[in-house]
Amino acid sequence: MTEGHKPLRDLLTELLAPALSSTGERLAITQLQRLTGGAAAQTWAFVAELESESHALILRLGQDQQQFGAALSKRQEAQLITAARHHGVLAPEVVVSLPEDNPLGEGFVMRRLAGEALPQRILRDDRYARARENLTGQCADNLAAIHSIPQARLDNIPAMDADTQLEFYRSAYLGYPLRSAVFEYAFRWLRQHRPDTRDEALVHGDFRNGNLLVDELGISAVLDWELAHIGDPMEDLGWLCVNSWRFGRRDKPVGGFGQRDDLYRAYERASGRVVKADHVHYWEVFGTLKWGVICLYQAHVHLSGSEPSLERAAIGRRVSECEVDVLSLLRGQQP
Amino acid sequence: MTDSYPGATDLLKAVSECLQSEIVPALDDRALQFKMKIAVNVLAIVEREISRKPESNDRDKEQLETLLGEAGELSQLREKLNDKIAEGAFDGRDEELLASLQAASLRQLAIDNPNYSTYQSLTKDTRVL
Repeated sequence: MTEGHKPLRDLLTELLAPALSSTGERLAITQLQRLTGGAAAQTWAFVAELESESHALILRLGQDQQQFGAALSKRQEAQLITAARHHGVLAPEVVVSLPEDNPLGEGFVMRRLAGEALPQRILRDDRYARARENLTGQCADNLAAIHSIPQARLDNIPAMDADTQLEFYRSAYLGYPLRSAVFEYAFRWLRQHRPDTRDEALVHGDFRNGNLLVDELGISAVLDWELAHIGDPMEDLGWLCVNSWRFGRRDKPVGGFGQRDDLYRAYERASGRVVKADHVHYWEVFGTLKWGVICLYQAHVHLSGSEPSLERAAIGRRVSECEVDVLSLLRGQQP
Repeated sequence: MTDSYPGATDLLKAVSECLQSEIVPALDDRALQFKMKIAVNVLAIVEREISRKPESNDRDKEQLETLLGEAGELSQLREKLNDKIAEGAFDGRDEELLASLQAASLRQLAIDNPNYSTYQSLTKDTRVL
C-alpha cells in the first residue's frame, strides 16, 4: 500500500521530517493503511522511513461528524496523553500534533506499540495467559496514576460530574424514538443515588478491555483518551467492570480477566484512596445505561441515513443486553 | 389460498446457510468476512423475532395490565408504564417492577442475543421467561 493516498503521504512527510530528523534526512512514508478505529476517530498506521532508521507510527484524525458526547479535540487529547505519560501512565508517545489549518483537520501522530487490543484474543489466547494474571493489578496502577495527575497540568479538560452526564445521556435518549421502561427506571435511580464525590480527579472516561493494548506481560499502553474529563475517579472503576466489556466472561467482573476485590485492593494501595463498593456499583449501573444509550445512538445514525452501516444497525439490538445487565445489577444478580 | 411456502424463517435460514457455507469461505478480505458474520447474525435475529415476538408481546401485555391495573393496547400500556416510572409512581413497588421488567427484557434478549452471558446465566437453572 505504498501507492495511493498521495496527499496524505505528502502532508505526513512534510510534518514528520523536522520532528524525526534534525539533520534533514530524506523521509518516506510507507505501508500506509487505515485501521478500523473507534467511531470518533480515524486511525491510520504507517512507517516513516529515514535513511538511518524507520519509525512505526499511528496517525489519529478527529472525525467531527457523528462524534458522541463531549469528546476532546485531538490537540487536547495529544497534550493529555503526553501529560499522562510523564506521570507514569502507560500511554503512547505522541510524536507530533498536526498544525492548525492543515487539510486533514485535527490529529496527531504517535508511536505504534506492539500489542493486541482485541478483547476476545486477550481473554482467550494462550499467548496472553500471563498477561491476564497481571492485568487487574496493572489496571489498578494505571488508574491510580491517571487519577493522580495534577489538575493544574490539564488545560481545558471539561468537568463532568454525575449530574452533567445524566443530563447529557437523558437528553440524547429522549431524542431517539425507542423508550425503554428499564432505562426510565435507571435514569430515576441514578438521579436518586448520586454519590457524594469530594475528591474529583482526571478520569480517563473509556478505560476498558478494548482500549488497552496488551502484550504477553500485560498492558503496554492505555489508548483512546478522547472522553477524558474531570470527575469522579470511581467512574473509571465502574466502567471497567461493565458486563459488555467482559466479553462473555461474566464471572470475571474486571474486564473479563479479574475480580472486583483484587482491583479495589490494588487500587487502594496504589492511589491511597478508599474504594467504596456501592460507589463503584453506581458507576457500573451508569456505565451500563450509558452504553445502552450509545447503542441507540448508533442505530439512530444508521436509520437517519447520515452514516448507514450494518454494524450500526445491529448495535441497536444490543439495547436489551444493557437492560438485562442494568436489572441484574439493581437486583444484586451481577457477579 | 395457500400459506407462504417455504415460510419466511425457512428462507432466512437458507440465505444464512448459503452466506456461511458458500460466501464466507470465498472472501479473502477480513473486513468483509467480519461484515458477513454480522449479516448472518442479523438474519438470525429476524428469524427469532418472527417466531418469538407474537408470544412475547402477549406476555408483555399481560404483565403491563397487572402492573398498571388496567387493560389497553400494548403500545399505549408501554407508554403509560414509561411515564409512570419516570414520575416515580412505582416507588415502593420496586422489586415487583424490576422482576417484571427483567422477564420482559429477557424475552427481548431471547430474540436479540440468547448467547449473551447474562441471558445464559439467568435462564440456565430456572425458567425466568
